[in-house]
Amino acid sequence: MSECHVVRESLPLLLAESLDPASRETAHRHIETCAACGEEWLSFKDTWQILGALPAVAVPARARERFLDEVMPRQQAVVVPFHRRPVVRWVAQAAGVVLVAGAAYFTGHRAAPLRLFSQPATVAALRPLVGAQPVYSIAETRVLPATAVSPNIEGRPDIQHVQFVDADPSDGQIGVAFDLTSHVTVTGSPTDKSMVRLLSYVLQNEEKTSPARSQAIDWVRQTYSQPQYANTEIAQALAGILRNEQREGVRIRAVDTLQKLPARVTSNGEVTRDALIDALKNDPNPSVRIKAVEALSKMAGSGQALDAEAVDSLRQKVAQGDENLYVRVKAAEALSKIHQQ
Amino acid sequence: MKHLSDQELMRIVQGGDFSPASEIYDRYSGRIYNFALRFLKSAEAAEDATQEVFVKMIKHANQFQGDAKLSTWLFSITANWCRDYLRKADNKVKESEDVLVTLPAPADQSPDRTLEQRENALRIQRALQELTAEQREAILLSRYQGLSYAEIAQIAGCSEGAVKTRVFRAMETLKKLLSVDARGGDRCLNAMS
Amino acid sequence: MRSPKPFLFAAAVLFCAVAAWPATFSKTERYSKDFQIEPDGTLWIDNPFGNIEIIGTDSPVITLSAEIALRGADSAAVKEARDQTQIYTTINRQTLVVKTATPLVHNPRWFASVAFTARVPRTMQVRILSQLSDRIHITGTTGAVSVKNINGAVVLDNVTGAASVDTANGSIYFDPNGRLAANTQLQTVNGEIQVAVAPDAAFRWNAQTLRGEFRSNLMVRGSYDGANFRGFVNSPRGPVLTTIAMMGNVVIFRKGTPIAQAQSVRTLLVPQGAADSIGPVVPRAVQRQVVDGNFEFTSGLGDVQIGQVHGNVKITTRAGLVQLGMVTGQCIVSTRGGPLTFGDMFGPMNARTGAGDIVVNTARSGGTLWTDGGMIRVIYAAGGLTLHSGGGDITVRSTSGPVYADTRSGDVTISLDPGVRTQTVVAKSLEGNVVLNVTPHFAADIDATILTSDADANSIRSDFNGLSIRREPAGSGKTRIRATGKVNGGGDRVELYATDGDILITGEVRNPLVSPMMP
Ligand SMILES: [Zn+2]
Repeated sequence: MSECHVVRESLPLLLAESLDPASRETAHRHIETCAACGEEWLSFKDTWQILGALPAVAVPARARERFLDEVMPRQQAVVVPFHRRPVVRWVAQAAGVVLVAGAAYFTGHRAAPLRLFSQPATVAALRPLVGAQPVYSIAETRVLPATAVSPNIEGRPDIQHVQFVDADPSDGQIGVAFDLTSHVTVTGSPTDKSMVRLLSYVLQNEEKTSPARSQAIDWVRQTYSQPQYANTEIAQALAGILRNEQREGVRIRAVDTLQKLPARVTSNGEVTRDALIDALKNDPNPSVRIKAVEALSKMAGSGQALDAEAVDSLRQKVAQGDENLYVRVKAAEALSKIHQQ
Repeated sequence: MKHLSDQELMRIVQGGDFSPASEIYDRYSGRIYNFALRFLKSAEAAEDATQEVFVKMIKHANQFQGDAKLSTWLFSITANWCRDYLRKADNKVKESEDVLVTLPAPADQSPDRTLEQRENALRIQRALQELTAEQREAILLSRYQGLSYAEIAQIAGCSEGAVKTRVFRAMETLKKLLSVDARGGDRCLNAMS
Repeated sequence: MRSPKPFLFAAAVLFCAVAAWPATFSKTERYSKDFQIEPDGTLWIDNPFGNIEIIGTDSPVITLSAEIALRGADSAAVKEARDQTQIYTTINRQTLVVKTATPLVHNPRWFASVAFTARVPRTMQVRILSQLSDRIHITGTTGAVSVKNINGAVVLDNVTGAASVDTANGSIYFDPNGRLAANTQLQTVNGEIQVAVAPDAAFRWNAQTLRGEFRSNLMVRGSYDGANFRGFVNSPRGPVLTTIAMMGNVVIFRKGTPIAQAQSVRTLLVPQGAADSIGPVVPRAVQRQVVDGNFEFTSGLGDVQIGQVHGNVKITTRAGLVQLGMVTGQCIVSTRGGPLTFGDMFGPMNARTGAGDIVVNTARSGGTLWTDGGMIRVIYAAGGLTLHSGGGDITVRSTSGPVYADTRSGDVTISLDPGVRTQTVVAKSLEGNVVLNVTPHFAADIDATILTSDADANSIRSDFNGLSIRREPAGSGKTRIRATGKVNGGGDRVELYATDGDILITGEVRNPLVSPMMP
């Protein structure tokens, strides 16, 4: 390694004034004789000094309170100072309780369906878990021992994509795998998270060519246009349809429904707003554009801030000579509602 | 308690009496908080870091060795916390400018000085974010906390030589970003077009 | 904004939200700083909330003052406002950038704005980006000026450099110190534009609008192309003034004269007396409860909302919504864009829109409904219906008359009145499903066809026996599925067609839908 390199690496130490005297002497001598390192030294000095301009920030007062709140009550619980053991045990016990509770939650939440059948469980043992946590996953893949499956196969279930697993040489167990189509009815409040997820999934994945998709949108509109069921996730599912659906007819329904949702729902999510802006800019169907601009107008009118891009899209729309005049006027109207609350 | 040394205070805590907690907090919270703030560029995260570092200090007081420097131990805990924080995918250093927002606007200083300070502080903070986490950790501890390379090596869990290289590299980068000619005026020009 | 000086009354909304709090805490901080850059340099100010005043001076120094106004519901909110509002500046020899950083979306319990005043060398260029203010005022500069904002009046007074203003809702007042010296573009969506010049100022004038009017009390010549104007003031030479006021008026007037003296340019262009031939300025919107007799209306742009018309209706507009509660006679409506809503229509209808939904509650004599894009919904009809959409669902809830419906994309759903034993129905969707609901006794000759690229996914389903179904390849990977036959002994022709969709014919017992009342 060249002397230059060694010296340069120690320049920060020189600046911090923590170089040992001998090295300091060497470094200074080198800097004075070597032009390149001398220049480097000056610029390091400049930088070091600039860095000093970053002011220290006071710790927020609430942070101190928060810390003392967490630490001091524990100390008060200990009646006698220097009484070391009880404190430690207390802390340890508390931690243990949390751990156990957490473990129980996660077993119930995630692994329950598998465990139910891998052990010879009784109905009584199952009940608390089933009642306490949402255990049924629609996306579930199960592995079941044959002893856990009822020998009576009723109602001619629809079994597809059957695969066979050869015998395991160690225990002689064989396997049969298949997709099972089962009929499931899920009931719950429109605000239930699982219900919302399920509907969003159905909206975005319903077979495109089936009448069910249009029906699904209509049905969702009836429920979720009511203010008490306002839901951002549903709005995003509709935004997904608006953005990705190829059929104009379905897009119109989606944007029509979006526009009828409470305004705070549509403006909460950037996803929805961006989909509306894209629709306004690019959708070939003028009715989609009208409804998109009306939804944006409703957002602006509800006092929600529109970002610069949304505002610019509206401005461009107003000025776009070949656009339908009504769309242009509606875009102007949407702009006029900004910040008027 | 103000007259007691760090080590003496910690000995009391180790004995199960937490009453020195506030005194230790007052001695070090500012340094811990500012280190985390500059490292993570998030006031919220810095506050959490400060909280957890001091709680850990109380909870694991026994891990502190009586002859060590308390600051080194606290910065070790802090640096660990910050590295964990950054490791979580969604905690990447944010582009937000929330560091500057907490800058004090002191009454004892002329207002134009404040404007200039804000400008400088923002530039420095941005430059620091251009460094790797290792480099940033090293330069922050060296430049702002005055720690020796040996202490930094202990905190960072690397050799002193590695610290030397990290600080040097950090300085090279900062020099480029902060030199006078680098102060362009076109930072927000594109916003207008 | 019909007042003579609308720009003075522009959006005073800055503190509305905060003013609603019962007790408001507020705080003001002032800063000032001098900068030196080259006299032909540029000052950029990017300040989302607050007024901006730029004053051109002979001094070589820029003096920038900032006043930070903080308001909050309590002192903590004011503190938060302060913390989240920062000003920073960057400078090089040519450019000074001043930027206020404040979150667009924040706690509604506070509001922060920054008012800037900058005294600048008058030759400097000035560029301003703002969102919300009462006023942006530039005076006494000779360099180029550009302003972009959302809300707030823009006042350029004694500004002689090339000016460009783009505002969404603000009005623009421009005074180039008598004479226009450089090309100027003034653009507002919802505001108005006023330009004050000397009597002998000479320049070319291009003006665009959707709904506004151009007025002047100077010598104006030129011609209209639709609503747009191209011409000149006093002389066909000189710089170009472009005014774009989409929804508002533009007035170019002699400085010092009352603005009310300015007349419509349309009337200035033709000799006195002939002005009538151009026709009066059309009303922009009509809102009436009752019209006795026929109603005829033609407008460039405007909404029409009428409760009842005892007579015939004929409406033609370029854009605007039409809502008619009840029309006793025939009804002809044509707009190039806008939704059409009809209540109880006694006479035959002919309604057409270039874009938008058409909703009819009751079409007692049927009619033709046409949209180039939008949904068509008829709740009840008693006459023949011809329905066309360029893209959108078509729904007929109950009808006793024949139906011809087609859409380029969307579902077509036709339900016949339960009393109808046979009726002609032709329903087509080029991209969607077709559903026909009839009673079990319905008799018809049915011809239903699906053209699909996924023969497994699409199907014809029918509650009626007697249909024979054929499948055949239709080229380019498509399959044609066709069901034909007589149901209940045969009757009128029912022709259903769907591309990439299902056809469903249901025969259910339903209660008759009574002609509904207006909602
Ligand atoms: Zn050298």
